Amino acid sequence: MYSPAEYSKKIIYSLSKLAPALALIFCASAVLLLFSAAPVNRSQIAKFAIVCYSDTPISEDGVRGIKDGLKKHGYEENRNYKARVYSAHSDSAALNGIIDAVISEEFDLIFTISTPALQAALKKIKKTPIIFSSTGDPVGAGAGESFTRHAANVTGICSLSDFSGMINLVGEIAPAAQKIGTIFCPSEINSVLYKQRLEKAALEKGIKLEAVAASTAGEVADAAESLCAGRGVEIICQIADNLSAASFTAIIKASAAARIPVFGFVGSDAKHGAALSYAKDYYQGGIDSANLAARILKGESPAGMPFEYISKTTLIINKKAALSGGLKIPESVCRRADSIIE
Amino acid sequence: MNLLLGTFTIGFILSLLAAGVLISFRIFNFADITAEGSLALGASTAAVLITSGAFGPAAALLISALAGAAAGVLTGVLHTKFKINALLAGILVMTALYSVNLHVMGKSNIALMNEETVFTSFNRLLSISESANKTVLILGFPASVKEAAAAALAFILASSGGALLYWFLGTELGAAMRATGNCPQMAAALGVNTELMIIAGLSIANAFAALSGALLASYQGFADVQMGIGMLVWGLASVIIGETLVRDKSVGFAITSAIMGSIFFRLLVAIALRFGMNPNDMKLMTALFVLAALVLPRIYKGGGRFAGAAVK
Repeated sequence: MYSPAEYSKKIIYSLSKLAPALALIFCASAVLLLFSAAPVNRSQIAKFAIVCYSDTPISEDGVRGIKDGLKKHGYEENRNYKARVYSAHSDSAALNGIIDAVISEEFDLIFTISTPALQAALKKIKKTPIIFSSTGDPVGAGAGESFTRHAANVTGICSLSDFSGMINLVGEIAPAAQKIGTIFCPSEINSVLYKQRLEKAALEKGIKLEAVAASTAGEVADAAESLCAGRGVEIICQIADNLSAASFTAIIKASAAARIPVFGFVGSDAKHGAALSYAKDYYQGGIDSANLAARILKGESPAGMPFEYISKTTLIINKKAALSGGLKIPESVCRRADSIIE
Repeated sequence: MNLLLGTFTIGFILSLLAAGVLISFRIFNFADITAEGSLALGASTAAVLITSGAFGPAAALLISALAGAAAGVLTGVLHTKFKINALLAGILVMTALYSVNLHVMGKSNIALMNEETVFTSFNRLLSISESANKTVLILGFPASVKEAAAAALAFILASSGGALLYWFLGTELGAAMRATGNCPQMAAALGVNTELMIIAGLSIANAFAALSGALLASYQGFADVQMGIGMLVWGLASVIIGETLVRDKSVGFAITSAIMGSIFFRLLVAIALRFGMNPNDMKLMTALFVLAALVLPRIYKGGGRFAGAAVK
């Protein structure tokens, strides 16, 4: 085939072609290596990482809650702790890069917001405490066998909505209701779980749930029309997922045309035209995870700290929206409301 | 060091996707969007097979690649037999795969925390303990043995994938495929079944994408139905960055440059992350880094011509 001289010629040619790329890869690696190998600032100040998977109001509320919660325990940002917020912008490969970066920075505590962020952290981080929030089903996500038996360095706040509480509200406000509806997103693990839990809670009170699937923002409007037309749905109890949160106005529009009231599981729903919202407060979820963080910083081990639910559910009533949906909210419910929009 | 190793691992895993994109984009001259669906299909198939325990991790990877190949065949058939525009055929199959993936997993996310994956098998092969977190010195920097093993395995898989593709494109079938991409009329005149070539090419491309997805899921510890979204763009970026840097379009160089492009791109993302800037600026920073990397060498050389020709 080739003589040795020709071989060496070929090799030299290949190397000369590949040299610029190899040099750039080498330089980039060197930059990264020197950055990550630079001695970590071992000051007295604590360092926390907050890892989000996507950019949503829910994660923003969570971040705010964590910082405000830490403040209540005497941790003031840039005074006695430093926090760095990472977002993967919904990119799975970038999420792994973030976790690697977090490990090389040697943070004292890692907060994760959303299920994929928790999972990526779980896989690689075995020692540094991880505190999750905005995760509907931590057991399904692989954080442990149960709320009490879980990975030794993990604890956190489960964001499951209060479904039976919502169904009780439906019973109080519209005792004759037989059928409620919701739109769910089959591709969001939380959405499917919430739909099942709502269905179960409703069945316990003899109420049927009519669920319509939507996978993209564009499909929500069609799904809402379909939910409102001829299915006999009396109240829409919209579960909290990313998709419906992003296109909630489409649901309100369809339901207003059909004069069907909407009960929402997201705090801002009532402001946006739902008759009421009965929402786990994701801001409170952040504060709750800061409380767990404070216990860990005092020396408690996360291994012995069971997962908790978000401690606060906020009831907001929109009287005008309720009325146009043909509902009169009883005085007993109004008295319990955290706020009322007239 | 672990950060660097993790970056290389992801870079090598996604270079398989880049190799797939190279086939559709550089041989057949269109970006096959099916890849986004088949990446997630590969991940979901592997996750289901691994958690079911009926198949070994290596078999799970192979079956995932076959599933991806099937998706590619579908796109190819839609395009060639039903004369649907290639981009649209890809969009249709990708859209359909979203539902298929949900059915495959039965839910939208499967965790692979303590399951046996190729990475843990590889560790056992090298008798590296999963629980003990040993470190070694690489070039004087401390590195976790597990991360080093993962990077090594990803390197082995990516380079054998590249070598396989190189060998294949050199066979008679591979040459006919490249001829089809270059000039379908000529290829047809020489007796090549051009439709069959397109179908076969897309199936190989998507097998690579699915394999990449299966590996990514094994490495990161979960498969998620949304994990393919946006991946085609990264694959295209890797291919184009690679060929800008290497500037030789023969088969061997094209494949090598796709792998190098993928590594380089991931390195830039990692640097952007490590700089610790405002997270909202991260994507902007990544884009600027890539731009600088592509433009600077040209300024230095006093201007070169970038020709986006097909693989010769």
